[in-house]
Amino acid sequence: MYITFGISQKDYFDEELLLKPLPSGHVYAYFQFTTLWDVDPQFNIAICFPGPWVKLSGGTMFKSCTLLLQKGSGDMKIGAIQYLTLLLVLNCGHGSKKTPKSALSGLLCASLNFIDAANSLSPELTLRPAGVVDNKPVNSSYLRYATLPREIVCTENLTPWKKLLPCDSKDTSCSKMAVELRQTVSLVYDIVIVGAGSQDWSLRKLFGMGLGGACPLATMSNIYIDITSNKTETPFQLVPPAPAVTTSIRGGYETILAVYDVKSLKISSMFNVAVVHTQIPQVFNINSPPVIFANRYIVGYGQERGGIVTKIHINHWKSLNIVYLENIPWFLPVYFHTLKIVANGKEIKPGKLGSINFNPGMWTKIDLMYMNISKYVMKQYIPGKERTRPYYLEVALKLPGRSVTEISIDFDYVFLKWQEYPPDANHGFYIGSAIITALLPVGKNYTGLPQDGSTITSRLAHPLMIINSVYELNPITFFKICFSFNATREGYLVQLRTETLIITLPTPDFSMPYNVICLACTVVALAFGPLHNITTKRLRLKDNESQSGPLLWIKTKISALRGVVQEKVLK
Amino acid sequence: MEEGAGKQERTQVFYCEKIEIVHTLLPPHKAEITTSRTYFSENALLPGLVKGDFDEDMTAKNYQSELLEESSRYPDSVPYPWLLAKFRQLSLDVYTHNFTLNYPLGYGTKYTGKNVYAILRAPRSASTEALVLSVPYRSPSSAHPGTMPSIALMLSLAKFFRRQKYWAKDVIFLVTEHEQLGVQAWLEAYHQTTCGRSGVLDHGDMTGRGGAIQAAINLELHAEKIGHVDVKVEGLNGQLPNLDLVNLVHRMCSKEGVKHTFKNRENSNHRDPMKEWFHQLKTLMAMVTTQATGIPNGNHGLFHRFGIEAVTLEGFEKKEKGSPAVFYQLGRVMEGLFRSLNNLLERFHQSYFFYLQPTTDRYISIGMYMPPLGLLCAALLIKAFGLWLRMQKDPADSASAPAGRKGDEDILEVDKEEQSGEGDGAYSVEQQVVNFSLVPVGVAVLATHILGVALLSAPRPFTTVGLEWGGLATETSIYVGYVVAALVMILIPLLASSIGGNMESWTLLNIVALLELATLLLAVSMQNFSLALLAATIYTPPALWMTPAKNRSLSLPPPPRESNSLAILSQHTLLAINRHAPGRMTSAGTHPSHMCSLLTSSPPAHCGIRRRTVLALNPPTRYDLLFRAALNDNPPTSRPTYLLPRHLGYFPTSSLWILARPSHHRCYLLTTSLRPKPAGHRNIPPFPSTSRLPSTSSSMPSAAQNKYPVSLPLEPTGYRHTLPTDPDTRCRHRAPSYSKATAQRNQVQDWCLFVYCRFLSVFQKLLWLLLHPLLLLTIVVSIFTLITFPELPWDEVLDRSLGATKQALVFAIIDSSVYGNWVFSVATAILTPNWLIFWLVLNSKPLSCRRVKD
Repeated sequence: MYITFGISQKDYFDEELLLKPLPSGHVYAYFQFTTLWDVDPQFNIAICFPGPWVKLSGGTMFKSCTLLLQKGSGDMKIGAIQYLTLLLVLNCGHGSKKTPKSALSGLLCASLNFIDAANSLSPELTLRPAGVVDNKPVNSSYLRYATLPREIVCTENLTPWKKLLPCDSKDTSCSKMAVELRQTVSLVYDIVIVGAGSQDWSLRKLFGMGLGGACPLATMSNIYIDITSNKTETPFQLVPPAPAVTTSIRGGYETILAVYDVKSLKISSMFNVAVVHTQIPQVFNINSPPVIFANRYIVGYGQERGGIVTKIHINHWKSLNIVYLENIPWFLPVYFHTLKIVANGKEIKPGKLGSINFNPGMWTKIDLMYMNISKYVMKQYIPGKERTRPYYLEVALKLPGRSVTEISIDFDYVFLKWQEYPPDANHGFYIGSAIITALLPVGKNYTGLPQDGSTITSRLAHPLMIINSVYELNPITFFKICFSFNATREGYLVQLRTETLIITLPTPDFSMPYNVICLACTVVALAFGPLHNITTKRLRLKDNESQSGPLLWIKTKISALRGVVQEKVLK
Repeated sequence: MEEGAGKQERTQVFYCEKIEIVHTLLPPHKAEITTSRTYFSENALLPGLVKGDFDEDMTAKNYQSELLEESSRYPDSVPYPWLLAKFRQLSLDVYTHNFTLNYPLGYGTKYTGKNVYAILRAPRSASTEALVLSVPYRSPSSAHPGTMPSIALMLSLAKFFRRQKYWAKDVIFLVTEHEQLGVQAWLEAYHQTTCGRSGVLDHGDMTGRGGAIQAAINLELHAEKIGHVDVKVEGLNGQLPNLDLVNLVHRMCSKEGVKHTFKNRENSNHRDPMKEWFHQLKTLMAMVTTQATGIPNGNHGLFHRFGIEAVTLEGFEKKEKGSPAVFYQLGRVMEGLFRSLNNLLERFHQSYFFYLQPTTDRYISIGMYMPPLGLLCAALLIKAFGLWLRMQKDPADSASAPAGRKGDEDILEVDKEEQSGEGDGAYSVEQQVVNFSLVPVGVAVLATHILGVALLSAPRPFTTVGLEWGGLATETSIYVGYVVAALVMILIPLLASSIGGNMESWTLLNIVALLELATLLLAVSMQNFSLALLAATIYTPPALWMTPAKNRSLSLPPPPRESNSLAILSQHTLLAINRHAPGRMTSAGTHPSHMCSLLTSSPPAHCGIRRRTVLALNPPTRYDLLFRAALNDNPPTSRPTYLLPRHLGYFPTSSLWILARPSHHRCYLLTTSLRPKPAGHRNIPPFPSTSRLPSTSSSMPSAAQNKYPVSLPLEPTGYRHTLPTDPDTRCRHRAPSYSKATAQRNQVQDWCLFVYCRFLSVFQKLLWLLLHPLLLLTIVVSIFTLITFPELPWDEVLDRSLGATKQALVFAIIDSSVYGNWVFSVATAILTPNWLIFWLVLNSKPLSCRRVKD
């Protein structure tokens, strides 16, 4: 799930669904709901925008907020993003420094209240506002970035999220702000599990039911099915056939999309789209690896020392500039001097940030970095502090083409205070993912939105075309006009989020206190009796003379006997 | 106090040993007390809660026939294309992993291998955790029984698992090559680390990974129709999987009706408790011996180091009648196992990691088995402490001794030359001040351990030398090298004895060795209890027996203060023991008439004196002569001095045994200050009928003793001789009152004793020689060879066992450098030096002896 806020000048609501079958037998589903409108200062009326969010954003505490709730199914190669909860708050400087986390966590049923200074940081390079945001330089010290890797995403989060959609929400209210709200859901379905033996799939199979129709408030309501693979892989048919087919060329890669404009379909009951394979495929293929993918894991064994290794694979022929951001929690003390970047067996030494002359504006800085740095690398590092600050590491690198780069850093396992262990201490501790940002020169395997666009449509053409035409034309007509346009940009921004890691910190035996309590109680119980006796009863001497017993009798007999024997011996 | 300490030490050591022996045997016997029924500690496992759904048994059969056909085309390697294709067909992520072994004892010899693994990505989580199902691939030419059915089952399980949506942990299907090497390389690559010596096993790189591995099951089925499944637990360095996992396997097997065993032994149901006990003991000992080697008995054993709980399920072919377990049942067992593991929220941590199992459903927890081992080690520690106390006591006591006491004691030199030569000081009590220096001790300890470290790194030089000079095979050159090293070690005492060092230094060395041994045993027991137990039972009793040759002088206490009757002043007068109660603390002479109170307080434990007739001295060879000295039962009023020349006859009524240095001809000093005997007691034998502990004797009123002076029929009457009253006449002559027969008898007895002591000494040395780690290895391997091939002629057995020993040594070295098995390292770098220190102590010739000789 993805929620983005931004201040904008436009006003519309779009709903889009992109379905992409992958050669490995997975189906990638991407829902995007964009609520964007221009607010007239005179009229405080908003039709689509959800009320609570209006209030939240009305406080002008943040300019842009990206909230990512992720639950991953794990193959980086699929290209889907996974794994973590992320909060990005852009503070414009005015307003309080306090982040509206409690309000947000209430809205989303997520434990955002766990976000505090101890796990959030202000990355300089990696993060920038997406969507329709004015490209003014932003001071990164107003940026907050945090992950809650332990957070579990479930329907509990989805329900409030769904409430934000204008068609589901009964509570839409007014707003004075110019806001863009982009809500997305990315899902990857495994056809082997879902399909029950067959590789065919349909909307009903994936989502349990068909489509009831478009949201009346939506300007645009489209379903796109990526049918590029129909040429190369096992052929399939769309039922019903797509009313329009469009081609998008990005960075030399052509994508063929079947487009269903739900509004124009005039759905009477339920609408369903099915993909039916004309011949039964025998084997699933391997996904062609994306231009860049990464893999992260813990190395070493035992509970003394370890290391985090991030392996970045680059399949592009040319070198790529990337930014690598680590947010390592304070309980994992890393040693900066152990940071080692080895690309294809050759070590890369990152220089200082100051070695590059950047323009003062931060955002231009990042752009510069993406575009122009060729021989420089740099790193930013702020060591963490126990219980107050995470370790922040950001490295900008130029990686050679067709390479495997290992970024490794060593850490120590530490003992926590015993109250800092979660109830399931032996489950392990999560380490949030790293973010690898790159501006890809080619659009291979790239389904994301362009940095300057808000809708899937925007990936099909140049944004200017959208802005000029989207309000006048029916989307289909629009596609028909602009499908032949080359939507190639200078680069395609991709942000990879690596796996969440789980590590086992040295964990005390939590049953020990229990044992101690048991032992102590036993001792107390045993001691109580005698103590009570001694303190409450009086001791009195007993007459010794009257003492007799079998033992004493035997003793006297024996001593008497001994005397006799000894005497005899003497004689 | 010192006497008390000494006594306590002795008894404690004694009891420690006894209790240990009893205790070790106890667990299976008193099954209800020491072993407990296994139970599930981790509730999240929910074993067998869900009915099994596995129905791919036909698929498994197809896979099996396909694989058999396929493998025939690859007689020496793995049919990679087939495996990769099968996994890919199931739309799993398939990877291969290459590794290289640089043979640690060869130059440039390399072996390569390739593992295949497939990862089933869990639909319900983000690859944070993973489970492993591993199967070693064995080509048809392999010496081990094949594992094709398990690969077939694994593939069908993969197919079944792939369709399930409940996985919250990745499942990794791993097919390894080269047995344990493949698993080790895979694990090292997965964790990107090296466990053994660097540069030996090149684990290679790995592209695909799941999350942190939580548990692993290694499957080895030798046939399609399985008679029983053996559950193997023993891992590298004796590590064991969590008991919950072991229980889980047994539970799932019994749920699906698969016969399951532990150590290939089924649970017996003997009516006879003794038979039952013996059965369980055998199973237990099988586990102990396996665990003690530190070598994993299955591929599961290598996972443990990484905090991954793992077991091996080995299925043996059904040979006898009855319905076998087929893929259907086994598949359900595996399904149940993996579903339970999938349920786990936390790592295995609830149940025991340290246990012994006498049956499949009972266990002995660490709380039960550690105390006996602790007692064994405590014996060593107590002994060390006792020795230390005595070292401390001697000077302190003499210093604090009342001045008047000294006057009572006589230091009388018989030999005037000696007296003039050595001076009083040489024999005075004060001379026994602890004046050891730490330097020789430190040097000895350091030198032996440097030797140990040198031995640890010796295999490679040995190989080189053997190859270049004699063209010997690796194992022969290594073995010969270590034998030579052992011989050098055995001969070191000859060298070291010339260096000398005084008594106290040797004792200190003894203490250090004892402490080191105890620490070593305890440290080993932390990880590998079985090894520690076996080592402790082998090494502790002889080590307790070890003493430096002259240690007795140290154990000699100062004269009891209350008796003031006897002082043994020579450093060379080693031991005086009350004959009536040897081994007991005696200072019986509270009665003035008993002039011969003894000071044999607590003969040291190493003396081994248990009964009144046996005088087992350690080592007896140090004393060419054993003197028995008697005190006159008819003492003169003056202070008598008894000289005990070398060939003095016996004084059988004596209560003293005085041992002296043989080389020292004249200086056997036994002086006592005797009080005049009250008249009327002239004929009373010198000793009270029973010896009493000081406590008892002091508690008894002296009047009572006076009242009943008892003569004791100590010995045959022939021994009853009295010394002439004039001491001087006896100084240089045999007592005239001896009859010839008696003298002869005494002579014979003397020789008997001498021979006995000599024998004991030699025996002790031989025993310790046998305990040299290398020799011990040879012996153990020979015994096993003998057991395995009982019908072979002895020379064949010898030949084979020698070969096996060489192999074992080489394997131990390779294991330590590839897997990090520390048995070899510990044995060479710590145990061997420790052995050497004891050996030095055993053969020590303290300086003080030689000084006297001069």
